Amino acid sequence: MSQNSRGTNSISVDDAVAEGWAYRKPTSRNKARILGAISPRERAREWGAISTQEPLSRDVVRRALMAAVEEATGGIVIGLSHDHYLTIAGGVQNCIGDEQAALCKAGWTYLHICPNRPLPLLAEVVDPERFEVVASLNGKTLGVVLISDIEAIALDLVRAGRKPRCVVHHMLGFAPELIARLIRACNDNQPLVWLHDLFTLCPSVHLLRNDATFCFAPPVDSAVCRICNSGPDRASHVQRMQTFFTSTHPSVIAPSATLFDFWVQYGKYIYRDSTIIAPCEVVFDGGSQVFDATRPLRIAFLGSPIYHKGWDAFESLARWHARDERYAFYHFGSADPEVPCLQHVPVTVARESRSAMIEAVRAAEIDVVINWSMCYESFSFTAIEAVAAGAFVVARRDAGNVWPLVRAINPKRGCSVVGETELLALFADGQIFEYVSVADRRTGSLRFGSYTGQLLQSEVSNA
Amino acid sequence: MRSVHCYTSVSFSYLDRARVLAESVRKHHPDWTLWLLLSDEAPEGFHFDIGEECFDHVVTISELGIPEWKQWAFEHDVVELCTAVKGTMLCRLLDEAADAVIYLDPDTAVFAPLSHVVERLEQSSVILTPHVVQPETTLAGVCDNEIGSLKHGVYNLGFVAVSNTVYGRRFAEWWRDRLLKFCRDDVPNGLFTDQRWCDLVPALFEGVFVLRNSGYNVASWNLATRPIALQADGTILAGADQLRFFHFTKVNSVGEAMLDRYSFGSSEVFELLRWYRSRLIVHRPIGLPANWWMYGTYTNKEPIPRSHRLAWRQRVDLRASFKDPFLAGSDGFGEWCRQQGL
Repeated sequence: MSQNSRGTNSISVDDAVAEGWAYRKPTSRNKARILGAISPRERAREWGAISTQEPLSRDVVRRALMAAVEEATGGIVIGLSHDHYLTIAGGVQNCIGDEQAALCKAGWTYLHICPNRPLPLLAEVVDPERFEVVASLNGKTLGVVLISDIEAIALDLVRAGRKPRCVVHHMLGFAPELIARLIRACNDNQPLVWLHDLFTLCPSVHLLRNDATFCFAPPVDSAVCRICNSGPDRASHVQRMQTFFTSTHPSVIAPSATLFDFWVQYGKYIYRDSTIIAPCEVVFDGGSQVFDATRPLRIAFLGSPIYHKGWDAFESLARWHARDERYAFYHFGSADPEVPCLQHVPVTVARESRSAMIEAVRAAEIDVVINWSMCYESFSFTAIEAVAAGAFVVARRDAGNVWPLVRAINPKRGCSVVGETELLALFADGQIFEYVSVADRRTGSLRFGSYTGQLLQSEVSNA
Repeated sequence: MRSVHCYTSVSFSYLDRARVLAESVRKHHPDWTLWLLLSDEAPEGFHFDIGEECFDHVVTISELGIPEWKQWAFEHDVVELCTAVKGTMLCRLLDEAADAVIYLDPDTAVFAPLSHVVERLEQSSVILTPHVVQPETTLAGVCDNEIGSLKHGVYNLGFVAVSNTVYGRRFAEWWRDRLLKFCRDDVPNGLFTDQRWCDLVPALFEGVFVLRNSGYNVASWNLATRPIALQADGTILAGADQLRFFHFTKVNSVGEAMLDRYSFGSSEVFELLRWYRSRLIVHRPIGLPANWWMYGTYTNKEPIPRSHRLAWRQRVDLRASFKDPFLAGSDGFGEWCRQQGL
C-alpha cells in the first residue's frame, strides 16, 4: 500500500495545493465565514416576496375551501411552514408533500399556508389584516391570502361543526402570535408542532454560532450568545416562542428522539405531549456490499457541498489524500464542486425520485460515506441513504442524529469521530480499513411514512 | 467597594470604540461612574452630546488644569497625547472622592464582571496586568511578545486600577508627573508613552498587585498562551480562566494579522472580532470626518509633521515666541519650522 510520503524530492506549489497543503495552513478556515456573518435581521433586508399579486378576496378563498370540504370525507388540516412546499425542494417540503398526499388520499382537506414574504427569522407582530400568506389547497396553489381571512374562514368552519386541525411545520417568517390566533380560531386545543430543526430555540435554525459552529443553545444572556450574529435577535425570539408554547400547549413531534431530547433540555417550553415520527426507515433487501481489497477504498460525500453539511472537512481530507493510492474520493450531488482528484457523480433527489441517491451510491460501490455535518441533524437523510446503499458511515460525534441513527441500525454500520484531527488520523494511518473489513454492509431501500398523516388518521380511528 | 469610577481617553476618531467599551462596562457594572476624557474638539457641524452617550461625564483636555495646555499638547502625537492626560485624569477622579478608579483603553471590551479587580482593590493600591504571564514557546512568540514587552513595557497600560489610598494616590501623582513631562513614543531611549514608566511601579510603591488571571487584558500579544474557547454553557474562556476583557488592539489594521498568527488555526477569537466590528458599526459617529483630530493639523488644516512636534519639544525657548503653536500663517510655528528645513 502506498503511503502519502514524498521522500526527499521537492514538490511544486501546485502539487502541494492539490495535495491539501493549502488546507492545513495555520490560520482558521472559518475566519472569512465568521467575519462575514451578519444578523438574520440584516439578511432579511435582501429577501423578497414570493408573489406580488393582490390578496384573493375572502369569498374566493372561502368558496374554494368549502368546495373542497364538501367533497372530502375526512377532516380538515391547516398546515403551516416557512416556504412554498409545492415549488421548493427539501426535507421539510417533502415531508409536507407526503403528509398532504397521504391525508388527501384518506379523504382529508389540506390547506397549506406560508408567509408571502419569507424571512430568516420571525416576522414582526402585525395586524393579521396586513399579513400575507401564500395558500395552497390539496396540493394546488390558490394564491396570496390575508391570514385574517384564513382566521375568519376557520371560525366559520368551527361554527359549522368542522373544526380544522393545525399542523405547524415551521414558524420561520411567521409571527407566532398570529399562528396562535389562528389556532384559537380553529378551536384546536391540541395543535401539532413539528421540530424539524432547532428554530424554536434561535433564529439560527441550525444553531450555528456566527454561521460556523454548533453552539448547544447557551443561555440567551450569556457572553457566547451575545457575540453571535443571531444573538441580538434571540432574546425576543425565545420570549415569543415561550408565549406561543404556553398559550397553545401543543403536541410536539420530532423526527428523532435525539432532537427531541436536545429540545427538551435546552428549550424549556411547555407542551402537551410528544411523538417521535421518523420520516423513513431502511428495509433491507438481502443484498450486501463487499469490500474489494484489490482496488482503492471508495470514499464519498453525499449532498450539497456546503460548509454546514461538512463539505470543508471532506474536501480537506480528499485533497490531502489526492495522490494516495489507497483511496478514491467521490461526491454525489447536483452541483459539481470541481475539486481535483475527486469524482463527481451528478444526482438529484426529488419527490418523484427519492431513491436516486441510494441507487447511484450503490452502483458506484462506495465503501465509506463521510457525514461531517456541522449541524445538529434532526434526522439525516444522507446518513440513512448511505446505510441503504451499503456504505460504512463515518459520523461526526456531535452532529445530532447522524450517529444515533446509524448506531441504532447496527453499530458496525459506521463509527463516530470526535473531531477533524481524529478524522484525518483515521485515514492517514489506514485504520478505516479495519473498520470497513468487519462492517455490516447490507443494502436496502427506504420506506417513507406519511408524517402527521398517520397521527391524525389514527386519532380519527381512535375517536 | 462603594464608588468605582472608570474612564477612558480618546480623540473623536476613537469615539466608536469608547462607546463599545462603555456599553460593555455598563452591562457588567451598572453602578460604576463612567467618564470620557477627550483630547480633541468636535469638527464644525458634528453633533456630540454627552447626554446621548453611555458615559456619565465628559472631561476635555482643556478642563484638566494643565498649565499652557495647548503648548504642552503640541508636543504630542495623538497616541501620546491621549496617554499623557491619563495620569492627570486619574488624580482628578481620586480628588473627587472615588473609592477606586479604573482606566480602560477605548479599544477594550468587557465580557464578564471584573470581579477579581474589584475584590483586590480592597487590599491593593495599584493593579497592573502584564502583557504576558507565561513564557512563550516559539521563536516568533519570544520576538513579538517577550522582546515586545521588554521594548514597550512589562505591563499593558490599557488597564490600571487604583484605590483611593495613600499608596494609590502616591502612584497616581507620580504617574501624572512623569506623563506630563515624558509621555513619549521613544523606544530607543527607553520610553514608550506611559508603559515603560510602569515597569518601575512594583519597585516604587507599596501595595502593587500584578493580576495574572488569564481572563484579563487578553490580546494578540498573549493569545498564544490563553486561547479563546466558547463553552456550551455560554461562558467564554481565555486559557483556563473566564474571559473578562479583551483588548482589540489595531484590529482594523495590523492587529488582525497578529490574531491570525497567534490563534494557530482556531477560529474563536475571530468570533470576538466579528462581534466587536459589528458594535463599532452600530456606534460609528455619524458625520465625523475620517481620521479627525483637531490637534493633528495647524489652523489652516495642514497636517503637523512629527518633526515639528519634536522640535517644539526640544526648543523650550520657542514657547515665548509662539503662544499658540497651532496657528498657521507667516508668523506661525509651522512656517518657522519650514524655514528651518523641517
